[in-house]
Amino acid sequence: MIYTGASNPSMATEERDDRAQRALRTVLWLLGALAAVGLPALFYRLYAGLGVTHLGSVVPWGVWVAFYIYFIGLSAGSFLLSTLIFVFKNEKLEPVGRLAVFQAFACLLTGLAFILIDLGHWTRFYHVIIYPQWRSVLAWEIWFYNIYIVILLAEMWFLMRCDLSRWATEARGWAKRIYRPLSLGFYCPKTPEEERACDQQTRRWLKILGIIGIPIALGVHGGTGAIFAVVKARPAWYSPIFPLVFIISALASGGGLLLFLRAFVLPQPDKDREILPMLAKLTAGFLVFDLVLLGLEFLVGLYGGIPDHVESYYLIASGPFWWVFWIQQLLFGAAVPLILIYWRAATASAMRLGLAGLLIVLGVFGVRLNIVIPALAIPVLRGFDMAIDSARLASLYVPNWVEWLSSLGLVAAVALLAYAAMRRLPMNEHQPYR
Amino acid sequence: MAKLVQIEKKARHSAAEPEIGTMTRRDLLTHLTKIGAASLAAAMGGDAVMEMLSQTPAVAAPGADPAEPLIKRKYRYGMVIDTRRCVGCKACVVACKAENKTPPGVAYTVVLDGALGNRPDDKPLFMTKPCFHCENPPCVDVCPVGATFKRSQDGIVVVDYDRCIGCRYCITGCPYGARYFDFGENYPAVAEGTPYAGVPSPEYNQFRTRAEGKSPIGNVRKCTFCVHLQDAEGRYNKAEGRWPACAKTCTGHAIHFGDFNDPESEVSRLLRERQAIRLKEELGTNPNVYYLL
Amino acid sequence: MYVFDEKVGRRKFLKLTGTTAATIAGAGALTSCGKISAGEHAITTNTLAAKQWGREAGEWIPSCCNMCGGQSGILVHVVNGVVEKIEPNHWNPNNYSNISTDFFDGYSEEYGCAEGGSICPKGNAGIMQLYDPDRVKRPLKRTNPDKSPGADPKWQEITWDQALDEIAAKLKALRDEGEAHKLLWMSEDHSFTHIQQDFCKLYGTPNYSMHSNLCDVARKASFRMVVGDDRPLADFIQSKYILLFGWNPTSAIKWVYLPRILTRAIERGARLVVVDPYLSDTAAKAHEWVAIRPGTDGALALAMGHVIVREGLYDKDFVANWVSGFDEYAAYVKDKTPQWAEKITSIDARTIERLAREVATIKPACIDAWSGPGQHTNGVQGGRAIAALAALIGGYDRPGTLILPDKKGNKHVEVEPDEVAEKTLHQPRFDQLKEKYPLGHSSGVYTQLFNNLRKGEGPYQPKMMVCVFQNPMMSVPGTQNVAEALAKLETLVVIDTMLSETAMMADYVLPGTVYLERYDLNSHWVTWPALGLRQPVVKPLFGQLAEYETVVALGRRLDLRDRSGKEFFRIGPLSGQPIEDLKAWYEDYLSNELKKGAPGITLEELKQLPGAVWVDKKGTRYEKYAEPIPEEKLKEAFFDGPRNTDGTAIYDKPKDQGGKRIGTVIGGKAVRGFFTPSGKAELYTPSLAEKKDANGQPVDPLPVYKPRDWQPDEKYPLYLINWKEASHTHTRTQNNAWLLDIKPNNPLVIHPETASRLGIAEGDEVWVESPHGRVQARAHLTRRIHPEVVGAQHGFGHTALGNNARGRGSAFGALNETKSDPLSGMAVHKEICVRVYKA
Ligand SMILES: Nc1nc2c(c(=O)[nH]1)N[C@H]1C(S)=C(S)[C@@H](COP(=O)(O)OP(=O)(O)OC[C@H]3O[C@@H](n4cnc5c(=O)[nH]c(N)nc54)[C@H](O)[C@@H]3O)O[C@H]1N2
Ligand SMILES: Nc1nc2c(c(=O)[nH]1)N[C@H]1C(S)=C(S)[C@@H](COP(=O)(O)OP(=O)(O)OC[C@H]3O[C@@H](n4cnc5c(=O)[nH]c(N)nc54)[C@H](O)[C@@H]3O)O[C@H]1N2
Ligand code: SF4
Ligand code: SF4
Ligand code: SF4
Ligand code: SF4
Ligand code: SF4
Ligand SMILES: [Mo]
Repeated sequence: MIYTGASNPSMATEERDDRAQRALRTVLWLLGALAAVGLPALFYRLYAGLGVTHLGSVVPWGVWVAFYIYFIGLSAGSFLLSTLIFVFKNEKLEPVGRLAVFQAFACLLTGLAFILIDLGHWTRFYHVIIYPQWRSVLAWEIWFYNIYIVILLAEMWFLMRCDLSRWATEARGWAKRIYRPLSLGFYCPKTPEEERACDQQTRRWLKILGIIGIPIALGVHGGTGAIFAVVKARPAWYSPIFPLVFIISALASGGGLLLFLRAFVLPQPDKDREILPMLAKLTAGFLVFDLVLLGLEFLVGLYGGIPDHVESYYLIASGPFWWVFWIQQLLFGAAVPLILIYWRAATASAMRLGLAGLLIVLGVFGVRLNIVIPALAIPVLRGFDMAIDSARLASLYVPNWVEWLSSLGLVAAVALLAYAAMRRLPMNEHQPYR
Repeated sequence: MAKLVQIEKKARHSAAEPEIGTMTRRDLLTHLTKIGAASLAAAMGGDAVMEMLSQTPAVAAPGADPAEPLIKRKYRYGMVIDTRRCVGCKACVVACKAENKTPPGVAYTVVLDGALGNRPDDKPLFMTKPCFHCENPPCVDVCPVGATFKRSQDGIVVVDYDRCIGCRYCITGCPYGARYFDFGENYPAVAEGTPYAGVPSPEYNQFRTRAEGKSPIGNVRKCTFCVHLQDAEGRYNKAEGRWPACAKTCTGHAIHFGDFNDPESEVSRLLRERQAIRLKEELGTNPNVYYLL
Repeated sequence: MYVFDEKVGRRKFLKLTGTTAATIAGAGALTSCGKISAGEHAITTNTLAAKQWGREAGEWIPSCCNMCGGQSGILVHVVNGVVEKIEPNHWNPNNYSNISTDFFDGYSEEYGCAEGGSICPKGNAGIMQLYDPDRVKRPLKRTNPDKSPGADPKWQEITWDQALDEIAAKLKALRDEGEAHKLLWMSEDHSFTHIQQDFCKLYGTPNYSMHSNLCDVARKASFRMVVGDDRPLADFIQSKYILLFGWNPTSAIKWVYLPRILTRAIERGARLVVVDPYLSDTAAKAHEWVAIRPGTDGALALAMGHVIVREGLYDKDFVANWVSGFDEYAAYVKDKTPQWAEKITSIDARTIERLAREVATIKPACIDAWSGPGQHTNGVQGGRAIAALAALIGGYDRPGTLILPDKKGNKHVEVEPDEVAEKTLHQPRFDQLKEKYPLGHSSGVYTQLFNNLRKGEGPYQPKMMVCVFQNPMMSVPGTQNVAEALAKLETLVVIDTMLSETAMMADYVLPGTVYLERYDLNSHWVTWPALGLRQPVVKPLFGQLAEYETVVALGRRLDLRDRSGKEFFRIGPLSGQPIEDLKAWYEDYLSNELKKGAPGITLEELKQLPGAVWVDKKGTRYEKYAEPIPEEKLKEAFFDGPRNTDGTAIYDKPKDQGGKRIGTVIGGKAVRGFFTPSGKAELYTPSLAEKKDANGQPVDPLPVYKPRDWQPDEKYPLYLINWKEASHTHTRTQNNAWLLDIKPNNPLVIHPETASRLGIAEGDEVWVESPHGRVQARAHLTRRIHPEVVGAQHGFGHTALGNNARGRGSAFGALNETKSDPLSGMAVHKEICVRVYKA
């Protein structure tokens, strides 16, 4: 069953909903199946150590780190988009506000889960809290993530507290026992004046949190970019443009995900007609900006001709995984969605824009892979990868089934959990309890 | 900002090369000011901030030897490796394995034969490459938990296996490929439980035997300059065999090890007498391992 | 730590001043100086374990390595019964220098040589050889009579007693039927050879062979012809010009002093020129790499000789006094111009001219050659041309040249066989060494042996073979022929540490010992007398017998006696008392050899010497050829001709009593000279003309150049060569996990131009084909090789040996004939022509 919005649906949308519903159910089953195969792989890895992966000492970071920066990017992008509403008062986008913040939260946790499973000693994750080493960007990042989580939780509470407290009174049984604590004892005001004051208070808080959140989110993802940018050992990373690239691509991917979720998972057709095209153009704008930065990076890198630097570009464009760049990243991740959004833009359906969003989201994953892996795949010294015989020193890294399955399992599990949460939380304003 | 300092540092390192000229940081700042970036300059808050950000210390006496460390240490251990003596036999690689009981895929030193570019007949130039125990080690800077650090006493860069979380950031950060992750693989003699399987590694005087899931499995490992062979005062002694294993076995006698703080040490003498290079000098890592060509 | 101290003896553990620090980065370190580095903190240590396992724990036992035939000195750290580490032994000259002045410069009894010795990667990896889980642990008996390629022997594990009983029974049956000569015995050339020779003699087979004829008997023959010595040693460190033909001393590290003395020579101003079709790792250290066509070294040497004679650059004094046959030589090289040689060798005539002038005028110059020129059918004469070139420039036995080593050590006390043995001992050798090979070596001729066996030719058909520490299936050219030959034997006994390809052909496999589990005495290949001890540092891991104990045990079961009726293998040769324990008996045997040999000490006394190595303090002597023979020796000497006639050879006792050459009458005086017919270095040896080679052709008394038999043609246009590298020993270390780390396989090296003509790219799988078969290999493109040549490291391509070794790299032996050079019987490993195409 899927929530179809508060207003009376027309016949046409009902039909559409039916189709969407069926599609969604298939997707949910698929996710369930993925989680069922993937999670055991994940536990296997946690139990057996990193030896079960294809990672090595020449390419020490692989698909999990790509997923990590990918989800951190999605999170930061979603959050920054939400600030358009809460800080910069883009009222039209307001209906997607809650979704954006929730999405930021879910993606952040997913990103952190990926970095956790990537640790050689994951049970020692708390060392980053108790032994911070402040010259490390990663140490700073951990604290950015912590603060960021607090902000996201606070925003969600402010956004939903009214509905939550209402639901807490309307709900019965166990549900009541969940919503009550979630509302943190907040009770909906009874008089209209009080309600207006409360509303105002919420907006003020959201604005304050948003203002604090902006630099934090920039730090979260710009900083994630800086994790790479400060590494002078890897010429392809060592560039001040990197943090900026991370933020812009984060915005593009965040927008894409929002588009997709809004169009396919939590549609509100009446409002969507207005919101989706706007969101789509915004996202497309970020995407184009991102492409410009990418072009600049290639231009400068190739022109400079420093071997290690150039080699990693060649690896991206014509290495064994050339298709990630040309097909996933540029064709389906950029060209096709741009066409979907701009081609006869006036008639663009929600489905079309949602699909564009999905493609952008998937395309950005290619971007992430191409950030992490090729820069590492060029050995820091010529011949280093051949100096002793070990698959762990191979410069060609191809993730193995444990890495893919555990990743897909984790993503599927999070998607299911997030879906369940979205179903159970007041994702829209004044949403009645069912 | 770090970037600016890098540029300036490079200029200082290669004072003889006019490509960046003699632009000091002050000049650079004035320049920035002139183009209207006075506020930016002010925001930098002077050397202190710059130094905090930069891995390469910004302040040094004019004309100071870039090889001279800024931190005063009791010892400054390092190597001078004579490529004319090195025959590429890789005894050093195996001796280090034997000493430190490193697993497959972990070799604290490896021998490169093409790092300095090929010649017309592809004639190799052999160079053994341990950790350089850089004076400004980028690997240390990136570690989020301070598990790897440079010992102020003697400049040796070590890893605390009990603190390291295995994030491998330091591997990406080392410009010299000196760090290896221990994936838990074992040689047949260890895997199949021969008597040798019970022999612990003397590394860091911790004498760990290999056990699934136990450190150093899951950690990043690297050349330690065989620090476990130091005595209580932190000294090595060649006559007693307490000397880096690679240097001890070297068939070409190419690996010279010693204390750069001691002007009479073999390594100090060689640096005085011969021309030496260091790899990727431009990164400002200031390695403590030199190559004689 | 092992530091020698006379008072305490051989194992003294230096007590450190204070134990190791409790913390690595102690609090003191944190505060002592300057800025604290990011993250610096104390790391905990384990002081208890340090006491149990640290350098001060356990024992450091001096011994000798045997990962290759080099016998370098080692110190073995044995803790809690396990070999923890192997390090160089600084008291052993083999680890440092082959010249005594260099070795003793700064030598101290406490520490050894000044800079300390070295050991090569293989020496360091001995631990992995000892603890290789794939080792043969118990005697194995074949139950599947099918010995065709790839057949499963269906091994059955049997007890040592059963194995020895059954083998002894077969040996006994053979001997009882008067067919003792039908036992073939093959051994390695340095390890426990004496006891095996004794066994063969007492048993009654003349067919004891060892692997030298796979190794360097061509070189031996070449130098024996010219200077009467089998193995002159290069004095690199004092040289100023070093010209190497097909020798790879810094990588084919056999005596681990080689890399040091060669690189040190360069450092001291010597020029190094390496003649090799491949830019070997030694050529990588050279000033000049001279890329030569395989098998044409003789032509190059002769052309250089031509230039030197033409321009009168030879060492006139040396030639006048110590060289014979100069005129014949000069006449022969008259038309051997650099232009002539250019066509043959592909080396520019101008380069040849220059090299000739350089080598003749820069003094002292050292000219040497090893396997490269030797392992071809024209190898002996080619090597002889090189040896002659060295004679021209006076390059013998002077500092910085080729030194005739003064090698002394343990004495092999010859046994006297009984009558039964005597009868079969007089049978001809099965490999026809004496009949066919005019310059052959006592090690025999493996190729002839296997060919005869396979074809049912030769004087008789042997029935049994004992193969110790050898892998002829991979080390003899023509793998398929060897396999067929071995399958013809009624009984093949292999003593090996691994299930080698040869062991897979055996009827019985007895587990051997790794060198860390056994004894040996090693007279070292340095230029003055030195002898190192190998001793068991751990008990044989599987309770197996050491190879010599197996021999002794068999000898006892056969009740072998010497002529006097003494039960040779029961009575201690030194003590004269019966000794039951096999190991104790062998210790007595070794003591006897030491006592009667140059050291004149017992085994126990040898163990007490620093590093367990005996080194003669007198050191290297030069220009020994000019030394007069001491009066007291002359008194007992035997003169093989008139006492005052130049050229009369002098022996220490009559020749028929086994007299050893000690000198020659030259200029009317009895001097050592060279042990050649004339007593001088010979550029021309007239007596050779009377001899016929294995093909029935007359032997040329001059070091002539003749093209080798097998030349490239249209069908097989490329030369295929092979070589050794520091990473592995022959075919025996490819299961060693540490060595596989540094060299996991042996790609086929091809010049990029050749490769592009053949459409082959880096990393391609290719077929290498000769008329005898084809082998798959992975291509590696580099300009390090002559464009007409392809090549690879020898030793890979195992089908057995162990789990790590199997299926790695390629073995090219199958592409060759089972063939030797017709003069010395040297196996021609490097004479193959092939075509290469993409797989
Ligand atoms: N690491 C290691 N060291 C060893 C050994 C080992 O197995 N491993 N074995 C030891 C033994 S037993 C021996 S005999 C020695 C042998 O030591 P080397 O004589 O050095 O043996 P190779 O490497 O077989 O051959 C030497 C060189 O000859 C070249 N060559 C091939 N054909 C020709 C030719 O026609 N002319 C010329 N000029 N050169 C040619 C090869 O390219 C090679 O570089 O090494 C000893 N040292
Ligand atoms: N194509 C080609 N062939 C060559 C050469 C070449 O350059 N190219 N080189 C030639 C030369 S120079 C030589 S010297 C020969 C050497 O040839 P071989 O003397 O046959 O030596 P390996 O091939 O190493 O085989 C030695 C065997 O002994 C076993 N073994 C090792 N250690 C021990 C031990 O301690 N005890 C016992 N019982 N067994 C042991 C090994 O497992 C192995 O099976 O090869 C020759 N063959
Ligand atoms: S070489 Fe690499 S690991 Fe060693 S100190 Fe320098 S940066 Fe660190
Ligand atoms: S792997 Fe260990 S030492 Fe390296 S950065 Fe991470 S925590 Fe630090
Ligand atoms: S100094 Fe010690 S740890 Fe470092 S490479 Fe040499 S042997 Fe290995
Ligand atoms: S042991 Fe010495 S000679 Fe051999 S590769 Fe290492 S540094 Fe070079
Ligand atoms: S050269 Fe190497 S393998 Fe051979 S004896 Fe010496 S140390 Fe051992
Ligand atoms: Mo050999």
